[in-house]
Amino acid sequence: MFYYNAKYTFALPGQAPGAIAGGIIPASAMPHGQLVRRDFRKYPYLQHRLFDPQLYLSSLDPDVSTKSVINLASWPWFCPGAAPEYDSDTHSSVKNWKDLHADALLQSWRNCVPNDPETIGDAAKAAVKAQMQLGCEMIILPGPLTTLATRQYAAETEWIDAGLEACKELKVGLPVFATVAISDNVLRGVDPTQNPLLQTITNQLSARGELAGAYILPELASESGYICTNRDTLLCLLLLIDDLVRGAGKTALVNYVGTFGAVASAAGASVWSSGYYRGQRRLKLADFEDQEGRAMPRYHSVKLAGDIGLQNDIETAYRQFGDRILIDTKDGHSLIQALASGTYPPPEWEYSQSNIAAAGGHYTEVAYRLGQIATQSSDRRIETVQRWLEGAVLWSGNLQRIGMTSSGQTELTHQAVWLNAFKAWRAHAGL
Amino acid sequence: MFTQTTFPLSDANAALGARFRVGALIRGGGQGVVYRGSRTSSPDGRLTSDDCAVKYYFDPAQDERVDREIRALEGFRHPNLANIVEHGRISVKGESVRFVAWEYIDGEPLDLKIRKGPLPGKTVACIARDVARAIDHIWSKRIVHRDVGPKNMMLRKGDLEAVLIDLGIARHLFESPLTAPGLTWGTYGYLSPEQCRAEPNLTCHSDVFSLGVSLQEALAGRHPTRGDQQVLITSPPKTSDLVPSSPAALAEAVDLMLSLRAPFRPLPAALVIRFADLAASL
Repeated sequence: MFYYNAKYTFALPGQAPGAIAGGIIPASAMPHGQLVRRDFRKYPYLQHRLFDPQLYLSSLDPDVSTKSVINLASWPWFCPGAAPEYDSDTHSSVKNWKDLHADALLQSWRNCVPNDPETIGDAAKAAVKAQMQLGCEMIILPGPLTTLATRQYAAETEWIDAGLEACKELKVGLPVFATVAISDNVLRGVDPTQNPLLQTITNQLSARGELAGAYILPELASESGYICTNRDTLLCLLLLIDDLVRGAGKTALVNYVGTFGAVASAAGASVWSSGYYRGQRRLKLADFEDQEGRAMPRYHSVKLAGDIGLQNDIETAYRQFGDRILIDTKDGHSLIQALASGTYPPPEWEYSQSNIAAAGGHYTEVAYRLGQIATQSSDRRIETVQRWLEGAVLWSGNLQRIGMTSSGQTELTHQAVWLNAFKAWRAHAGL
Repeated sequence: MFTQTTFPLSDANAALGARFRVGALIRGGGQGVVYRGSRTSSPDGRLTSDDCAVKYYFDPAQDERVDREIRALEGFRHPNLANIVEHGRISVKGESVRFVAWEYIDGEPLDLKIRKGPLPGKTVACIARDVARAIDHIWSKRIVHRDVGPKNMMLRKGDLEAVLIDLGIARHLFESPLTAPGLTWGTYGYLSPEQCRAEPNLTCHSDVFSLGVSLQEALAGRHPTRGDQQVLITSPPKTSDLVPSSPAALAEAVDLMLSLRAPFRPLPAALVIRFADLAASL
């Protein structure tokens, strides 16, 4: 099932389907005092909402990720008591509140994950409490980012157990998920089927009967594009899901893997989450640095399992293959019509800064449709995804044969890697 | 340092005081000896009549380990775990000797029982149920026994109840390892794949694997791989191949415990339910 990664603005882009199953709100989206005052009722997809405490962002540098750190520091598991909570009567606007307290919040930022048991216990409890107050449908326990390839996993399990203890104390009656945030640096270059870290993680998570499952996010520290292009990272993700779901009977939620989430759902993930913007599709700490750049529109081709550049490539592809590589969506319809009638680009698909409503709506509809794969039986899901990826590899070859190359806008190299990882998982799982 | 043969028992008993009566030897080893005993009063003078097993520890290097065992168990009262009665130090011929008095389990160790022949399915299901219950209980405190095996299971009440003993090398998950990196603890022939890989932070899955090996041994009347640890962690035998007459549901449950991938093994809480049902139906 596809969940939308909510941003500061909760509204879905363009004409994205209203039937999206749910949403995940990250702590970095806005300060605590603001989020607790937001009205979720206006957004149907947020009736099934999750909140990500994002403890894995603890090492952000406040000097370069100032905006995100101010938002994060307002949450009590990061910097308890650093600033008074935003109050509209006192501060009149969030901007005023930030202006008044930004320095205090930035100075109290620890820049690392706390490691003393008392602080961990308090932080875990605060994160659980916040999610209960926000009316979340499940609890995501805060967890640090795993960046070392050791087999200890001790800090992570300490946070999990502190979170479970907090849930017990607060009498939480909701399913509880452990955060598994792993840097791809520790997943690459090791045979995923023998990766000791992976074995330790699944061993530790599956041994905790109190956990409903895991909320899994690979940090794509080594990637420059929007998507993961490394077989080891992808296979690790699938193996992790398989061990938890088929092995331990738990539930896996996956975030920040773009439409590879549909592949993850074939391996057993119940929910995958994404969104149009780069920061909604991937998790990379560098993306939290303050940037002034504006987003440009990108066309996501479900057939290609990747984006096609709007400046030149989309017309080239259309001339050669017609609309076979495109998919009709509410927001994408005008693009197909314009290509067919020789009036490309329609204004809503013009390649210009911030002109992303249609592209965003189109991506979200594509992701929503891919999310429907989860409604199929397990066997059928696997076959559907295999066919989809095989098709994507063919399309990637077709586009390369007409002279198209991979670029910042057009993604042509990962398809074979995705298929390879998927086949390797099937072989390992005997499915 | 004392050994079993040089340990001056009478001096130790005298140092322990009149509150204890120490009798026959139960078991001896390189690190200590265990005697049957009884206690007539607690340190604060309350009258008691505790049957106990008194263990004297020879090796001072074991002190921290023993401390941990005591800490781990002090808060426990569980019918399937041997409970601590009292612990302390005594001076024996000028040497400080650690002692721990355990609740005496009036029964027979499973290893001795197995030497007499295979055990019936019902008995095996009862052992599985009770030891899984004990593993579940210690894991709720994030403690892993690490040495689950027939020598550490006591049978009582007509072999229909089992008690897990000797948490001597148990480890709390958050405590730093006492072993050097790359080393593991446990008994060869019962180690889980994770123990063999010397994983630093084991879980209850590891104890479940060792319990599975012990159950196969109880059903077969011999160790399932005749002590070959390597075979156990690469291709453990199927229970139905080992003991074709074993009840299918029992064999299936035991085989799952021997899954090579830890997450595929059932949790102890699930095993308690499964084996309780089996014990009732066999």
